[in-house]
Amino acid sequence: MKRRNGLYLLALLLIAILIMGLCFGSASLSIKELLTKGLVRTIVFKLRLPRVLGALLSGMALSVSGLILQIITDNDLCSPNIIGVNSGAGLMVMVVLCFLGGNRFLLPIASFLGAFLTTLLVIAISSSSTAHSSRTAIVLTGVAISSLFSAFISLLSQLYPDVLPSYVYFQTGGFNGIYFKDLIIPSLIISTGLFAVCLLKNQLEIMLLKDDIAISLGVDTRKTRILAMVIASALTAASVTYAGLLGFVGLLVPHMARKIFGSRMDVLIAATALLGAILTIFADLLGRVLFAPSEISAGVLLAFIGAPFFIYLLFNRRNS
Amino acid sequence: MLETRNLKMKYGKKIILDDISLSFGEKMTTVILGKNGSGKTTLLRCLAGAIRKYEGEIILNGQNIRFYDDKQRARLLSLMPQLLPRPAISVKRLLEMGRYPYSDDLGRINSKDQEIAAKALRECELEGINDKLVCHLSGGQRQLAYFGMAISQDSEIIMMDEPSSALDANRKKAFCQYLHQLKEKGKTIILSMHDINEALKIAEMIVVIDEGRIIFQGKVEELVATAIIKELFGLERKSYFEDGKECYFYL
Repeated sequence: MKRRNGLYLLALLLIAILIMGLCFGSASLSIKELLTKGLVRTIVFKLRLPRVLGALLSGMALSVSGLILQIITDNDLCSPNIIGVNSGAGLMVMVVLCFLGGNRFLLPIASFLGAFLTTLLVIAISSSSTAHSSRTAIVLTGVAISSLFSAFISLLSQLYPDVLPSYVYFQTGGFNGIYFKDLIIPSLIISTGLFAVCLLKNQLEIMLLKDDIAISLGVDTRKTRILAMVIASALTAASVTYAGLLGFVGLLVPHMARKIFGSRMDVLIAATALLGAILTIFADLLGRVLFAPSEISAGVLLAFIGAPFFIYLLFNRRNS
Repeated sequence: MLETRNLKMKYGKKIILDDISLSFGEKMTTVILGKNGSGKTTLLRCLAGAIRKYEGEIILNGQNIRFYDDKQRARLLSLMPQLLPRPAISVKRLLEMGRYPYSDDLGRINSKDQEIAAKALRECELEGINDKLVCHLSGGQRQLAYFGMAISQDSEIIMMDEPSSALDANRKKAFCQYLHQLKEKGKTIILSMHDINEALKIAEMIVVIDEGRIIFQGKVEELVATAIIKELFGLERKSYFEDGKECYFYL
């Protein structure tokens, strides 16, 4: 009951932050003005609403993706960027920027392909390297692939220094200049991914008991792990297509949700999605108002919170 | 009926299990005895399906265990490992998870399964801590909670890896009573242990493993008649009389 009330509270908070996201920016508007016709309405519905919805979808996708990855790798330091999904997407974007003239239509497709192919590569290498339990293998393979792709990205950025400014913007991650048309395909992928996670929740919950018990209870851990990785990479890639390489949401939010709501999976998935959306919309909002009319991208603000948290986790791990 | 035929398992070039052929007596309590690192845990993990890369065969009820569906195997055989995880889920939920082998394709259990889990909760006297999170339990309570999960799973064969290692004297006594209850229900129990005196109290059949090889399998009386324990553990056999019957222990 307590947990359910907590979820209602999060839902109310999300609605409040959504309204704030529509009202505040370089020009602040009252709720009454939101509903008026004319230029103000155009600003709100053509510019701010897609931006806020983009942040909502991205926050949900990345945080749930992080939660899944942390469970299946049994590693609380794991997030989409650790298993190399982000760097795979980044490398493909870099390839498009360097060799295909930075075609705007190709960029999202390339990042999507990069994320998927990287995940498949990580799955293939880690599956063939162990007998059954592949938790460590997945993380190590992800780190290795990520390092390799980062090296390629550095190589390309040195050979083609002119493309760097566009890549840097993509690498930071943010929601500036998003239109409804940018969100159509990602929103379909993200909602399908979130639905698929709900179908897999019982198996994921048992995976919390580690492989030996999960197998003893009849869970096909290998199949569950592969399904979960595909869902996680689809969620991340869908977000990358319009929001760039937004980091740390997938690391921060699952920890916060687990701390507040425990690990009962149905509650945890809902709490993670809601908290992820709230945090991302808030970061985007803060980036718009903090130094208005100048803007700071949401990715920069999230890194300010996320990086110290990552260090805290590292120290906490060592101490425990 | 569970048996292994010429089971061999290697980590790289190191042989962990070497030509293990065993037959576990139905509805009996078998203790696998051996020093740390002798291969007990690997043997149990092979039997439970957690390790699949091995040579030889594991036969369960006349059929190779590889041909069983995961849930079907879990209804026949369960394993409680030595290292028990500490998730932030309640004891009640943990016992409900024990009913997963009987769940539908999405892993959902019905009200009958919830009742069975609740019954296991009462049998293990866990009602007082049913809402407590597993991560907040003491070592002994946690072991008992997982024991409750094994009872909730209700498989024909229950395997436990060093189950009493974290228990104090009182809890060990209670644990022996729970084992007795399981035996009365007709369960086949397989335990791995390194404490010979504890093994003598519990076991009907004993298997002694050393460096991945079986060096003895038979009844307790047969084992104490040999010098195997003295050679393996360096312990001397002592005897005492209880209810006119000669009993043995090792010092």
